[in-house]
Amino acid sequence: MNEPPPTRNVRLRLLASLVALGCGAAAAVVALLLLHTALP
Amino acid sequence: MLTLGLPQAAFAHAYLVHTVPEASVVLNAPPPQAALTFDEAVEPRFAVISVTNTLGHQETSGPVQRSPADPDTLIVPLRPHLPEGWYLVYWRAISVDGHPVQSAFTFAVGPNPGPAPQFVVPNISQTATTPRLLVARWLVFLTVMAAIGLFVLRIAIARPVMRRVPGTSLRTVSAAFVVASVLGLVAIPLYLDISTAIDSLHSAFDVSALVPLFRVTAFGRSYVDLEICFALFCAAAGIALWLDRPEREHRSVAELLSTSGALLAAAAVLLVPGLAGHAAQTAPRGVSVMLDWVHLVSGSLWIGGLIGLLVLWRSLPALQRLAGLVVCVPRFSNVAFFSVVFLLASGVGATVIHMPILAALWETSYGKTILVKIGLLAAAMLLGAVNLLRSKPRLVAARDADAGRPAAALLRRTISGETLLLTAAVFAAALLSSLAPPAAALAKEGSALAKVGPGPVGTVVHQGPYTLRVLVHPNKAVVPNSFALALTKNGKPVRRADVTLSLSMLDMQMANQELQLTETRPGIYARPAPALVMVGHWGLEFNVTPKGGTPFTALVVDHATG
Repeated sequence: MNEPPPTRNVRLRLLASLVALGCGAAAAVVALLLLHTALP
Repeated sequence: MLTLGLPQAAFAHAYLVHTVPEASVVLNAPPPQAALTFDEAVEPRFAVISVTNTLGHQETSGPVQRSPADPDTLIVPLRPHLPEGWYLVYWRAISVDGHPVQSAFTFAVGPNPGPAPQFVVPNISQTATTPRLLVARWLVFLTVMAAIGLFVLRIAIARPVMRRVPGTSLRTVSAAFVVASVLGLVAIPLYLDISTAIDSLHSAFDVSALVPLFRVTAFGRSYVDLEICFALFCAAAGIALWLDRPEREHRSVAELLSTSGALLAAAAVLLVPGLAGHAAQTAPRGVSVMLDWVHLVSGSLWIGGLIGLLVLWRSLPALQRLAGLVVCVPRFSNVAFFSVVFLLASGVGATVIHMPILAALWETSYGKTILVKIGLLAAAMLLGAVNLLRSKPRLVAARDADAGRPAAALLRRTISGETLLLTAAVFAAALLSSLAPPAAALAKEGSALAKVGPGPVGTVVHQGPYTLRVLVHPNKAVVPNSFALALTKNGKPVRRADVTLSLSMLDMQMANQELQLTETRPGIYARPAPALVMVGHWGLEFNVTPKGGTPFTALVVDHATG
């Protein structure tokens, strides 16, 4: 009875996965900027 | 007085191109300041310039500053009205890759300063190694690599264990990942703090003074970026583990997206150490950085996977242990096999790039550390081969827990040994990245006609029809030395030849110095110069053009002491 509806759960999981993907992309941007500075 | 040749390659370390006062000059009036010009902008907050008299008293009257006229020049004000006499200028600066470089020279205030005295030169070793710094660097490498390897083992290799062996859990592997991540997140700033404290001569506990200096050097900026990338990886990997449902065979879109994000962040994290260290300073730099990245990726998968397997071995209930290992070990063995192949290939590639000659492997500290690392990795590979060829087939063939017990015990022992050896290899890697790679000039050593020093030199060498007597006196670093070449052919002095002496430092990458020798007596070409600016091995290359004859060169390797 108290369990959240499945659609809400799916949305939350998808949102979390997008956050994780964003973290990966941000880390890649930081490393690429450093690469650009180190090897112009 | 002292001409520095143009750099012939990209140098890993900052080098001095010009000084005011010039080295060994005798001035008629006391200078108001000492100015040192480098080939790159050197941060004054990380630089030391000391000017001392013969008794060792400090003669500077203020801190080191950047010259307003030239960002590559550092200046230090001197006490007004320096008395007559000789002075020692000792300097230390931090290079782009975080290594301190240091050297010294002398000058005199005249008109009658007297003979040049023997100064006691401060320690002029150029390594960045202190035990505390080394341990911190090792912890950074170990925790970051272990965290990434543990994540890959949990999310990709050990995942099917939960589905295929009922009653098992991978929670302890996830917990090990969290522990490694937290330690890594602490170790990186700790290492940066200790490193910055040493470079800027602060206490490591003076955090409020050190934090603003973190992003001042390229090295510091890289480690701040490493912390950012690693924190992003930890967040992405944490989300991926939270979303993962290993009881299902196929992954959902959310699981795939989060795992991709974490793997992308892991790839970014492992790119940073190469960019902060020797790899980005060693030509060809693109290839060098790529090799470093492949080396770190394969090393992380290997060491993190082994730690994960040990954790799994301990955490699985005795009844399910064999079944769990049967699922996990063959999958890990495949990954470990390819990791070892890539680790070897990238390691060999990087060694070839860093070693100017094969002999540098056993003649330099850098080379010796590589040999130790190779030995540790070879021993770990031997244990890995035992796992691959004996433990794995026996585990797979065992029908029940009793039959598989000896194989499982052997596996635990070999994996423990392998993990210890790899941990030691990571320590060797941390030491390696703290040492200066051998100079490219070392490649010349093989063509040397003689090896001379320490102490005064008077050596005879032959080149074609010519006989050369090489004289260096007193052959000591920092103090003025007299360089001379007595040139004869068929016992007769060779007159009016053009003789230049090129000095190259063989122990670290520095610019060559060129000296023009003048004929002081028939067939004797000489020049006094403070050219051996640091202790170590020097290549003395005499370039001789006899009048109307064919030019030739003669190389002698000299060992100068303090």
